[in-house]
Amino acid sequence: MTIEPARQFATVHEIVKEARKNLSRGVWDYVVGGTDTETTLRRNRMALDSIAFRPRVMRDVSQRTAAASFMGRDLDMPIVLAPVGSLESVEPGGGATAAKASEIANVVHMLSSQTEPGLEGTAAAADNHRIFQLYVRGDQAFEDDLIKRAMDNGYFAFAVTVDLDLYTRRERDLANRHVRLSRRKAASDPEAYRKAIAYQAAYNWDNVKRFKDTYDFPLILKGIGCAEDSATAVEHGVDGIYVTNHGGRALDTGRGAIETLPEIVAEADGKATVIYDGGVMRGSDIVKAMILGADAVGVGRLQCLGMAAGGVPGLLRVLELLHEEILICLGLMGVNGWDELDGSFICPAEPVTEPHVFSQHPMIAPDPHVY
Amino acid sequence: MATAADDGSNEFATIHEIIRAARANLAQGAWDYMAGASESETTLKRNRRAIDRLALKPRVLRDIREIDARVAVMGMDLRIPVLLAPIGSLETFAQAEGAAAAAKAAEDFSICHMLSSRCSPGLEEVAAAANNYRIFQLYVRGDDSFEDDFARRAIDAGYNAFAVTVDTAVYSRRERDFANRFIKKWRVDVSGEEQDWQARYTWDNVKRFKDTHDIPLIMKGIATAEDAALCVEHGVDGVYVSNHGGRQLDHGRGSMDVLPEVAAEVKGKATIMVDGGCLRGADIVKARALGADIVGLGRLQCAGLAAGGRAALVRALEILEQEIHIAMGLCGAANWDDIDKSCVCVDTAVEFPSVFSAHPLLTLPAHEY
Repeated sequence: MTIEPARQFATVHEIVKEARKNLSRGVWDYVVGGTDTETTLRRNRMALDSIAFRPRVMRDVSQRTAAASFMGRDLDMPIVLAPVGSLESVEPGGGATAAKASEIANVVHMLSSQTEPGLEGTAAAADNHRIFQLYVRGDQAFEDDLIKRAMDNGYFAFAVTVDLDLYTRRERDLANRHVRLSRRKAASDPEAYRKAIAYQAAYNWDNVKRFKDTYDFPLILKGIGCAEDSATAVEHGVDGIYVTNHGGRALDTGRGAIETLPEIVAEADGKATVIYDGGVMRGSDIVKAMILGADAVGVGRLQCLGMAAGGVPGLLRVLELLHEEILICLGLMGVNGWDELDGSFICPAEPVTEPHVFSQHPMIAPDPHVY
Repeated sequence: MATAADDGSNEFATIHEIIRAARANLAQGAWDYMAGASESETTLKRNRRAIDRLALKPRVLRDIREIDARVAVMGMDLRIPVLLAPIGSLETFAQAEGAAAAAKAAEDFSICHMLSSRCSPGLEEVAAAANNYRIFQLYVRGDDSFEDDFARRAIDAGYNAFAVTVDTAVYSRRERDFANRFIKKWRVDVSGEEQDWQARYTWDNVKRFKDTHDIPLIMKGIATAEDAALCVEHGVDGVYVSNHGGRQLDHGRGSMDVLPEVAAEVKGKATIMVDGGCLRGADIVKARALGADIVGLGRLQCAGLAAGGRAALVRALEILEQEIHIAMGLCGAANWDDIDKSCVCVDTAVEFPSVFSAHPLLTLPAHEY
């Protein structure tokens, strides 16, 4: 598959501007918003902004590469297109668009169980590195069915989201009376929905044990937010620990995700692969997460914005710009690749910008949602 | 001591007014090239934050009738410890005279001008234009013979020292320039192959330079104690702490946050220069307190030249000198011997910084797409 990135966009600023134009207020706010006060969302940014680089010079950086190996896959850069529900509301192709871009850019796509065209439809759309991500909305048979289908359709790992036992109050959506397709479906049969969501709330480490005992399929727990749960995950033989607070869309007033990464990595201690997401808007953010021990970094909102701005080419352009920023950052840090980085390349710093969803793109004025 | 008149007779009473005039005289593209930085502009803001979080500690009841801000450094006797930092394409800001205007202002004020190799007119012409303290700064765009040629010509043209910029191994994304579709002809000229020489430049090249040439060597763009130690090991004469005004690696530290660890490593074995966000006399006093010998002025130099050429730049320096004298005097220092680490302490910054936030009477609209 060859599709050219949408190079008419010189910067992510321009992609954001185009995305805003193409999306309704409701979908825009669904993408950019967080929970309640949106404090966790802002802390994601604030925490990244509280780290500074210590660049080294005169080290011959003429052979730079962002390539990385992730769960046995050779990627052009350590990026996971994070699972996003209702991606079809952002761009009609939904998960298939993200899958195609991930094939061309040679990065991973993690498909949300709440996104069209679904597990099989998305797998058929691209020959990419793909992981399936599940919201537990049914009993054991429901989970088993999806696991088997994921294995049959070439997904190389299976992620279970564990940070959304209760659906949160996304107040922009409430303000806009914005109800997503998957939640409209749920609302059509409240009793069935109540039962379905109860499975997520009841999901516990016994389920993890059963998964590992039953399947020879790499398991990722998405939504680990502290050292204690990282340790328990490792005890249970979990293959991947996905450090995230759901982009500030789950528990409000949590810690910035990058603050939690070091303690989680310390517990994982190389026994599990670590994926990070939260506030990633620049190549430099990816470099920081990699220095702190991530094996790959998830991109959520940027993925949506690229798709909204221009489908596969728009998303490819986002990935191309991230790749360019990573290579610049590595070069100016004095290294040719990920292996040469360690903790000596960063140090604490004071944030210098009021954090908001686009504060890393300062030519975009904040877009406050006003009732 | 020369004192600027505060009776309203000067065209520019404050640096605010100089910046305002510069803004009025520059097209959006040139202004943003000067005021902007790379990517999120976080490094630029951290430069200012690192200065803002330092508080000066006043000392009283000391005899400060004769304040002397002069320094002797690298064979130069400077009126204030200030260096006009190397700026590519100075001709964008100083019109026809280009870098020669900065050289002349340096002569007028008896400070040092560091000429960028990406300026016109070039090395010889700028040297001929003024009888000033001058240092040549090179971007490595070729092999050893390229560097040797510049070194010999700099020696022949009376440059006091030779600086190699080392924080530009790759060129950064300056997004205001993209937004404005601002074409930098001095960048268009640089082929990938030429830029690659800079990426491949290592400490071996430093060793070779020191073995080959008899001119003081400055490494510009040092940002860690580790690299400062390597500079000293290689016999480098000047360690220039800089992050290129926030225009290269984004999310780096503010220069003033880097300075103490560098000074601790250098321990007087090399001259220390620093730049990054210095827009006030007090900033220069803070840098001196933390161990810098001289402080580079980049954007303030551009603003002066754009506001009114050589004369306005000299006026900016005059205001800066006055501020230096005030800050020194109120810290109880009659000369630099009385300024040391005990004059500063870490406090809390009181605002989110921006490029000219040191001049708060000035409201400049944010660049928005």
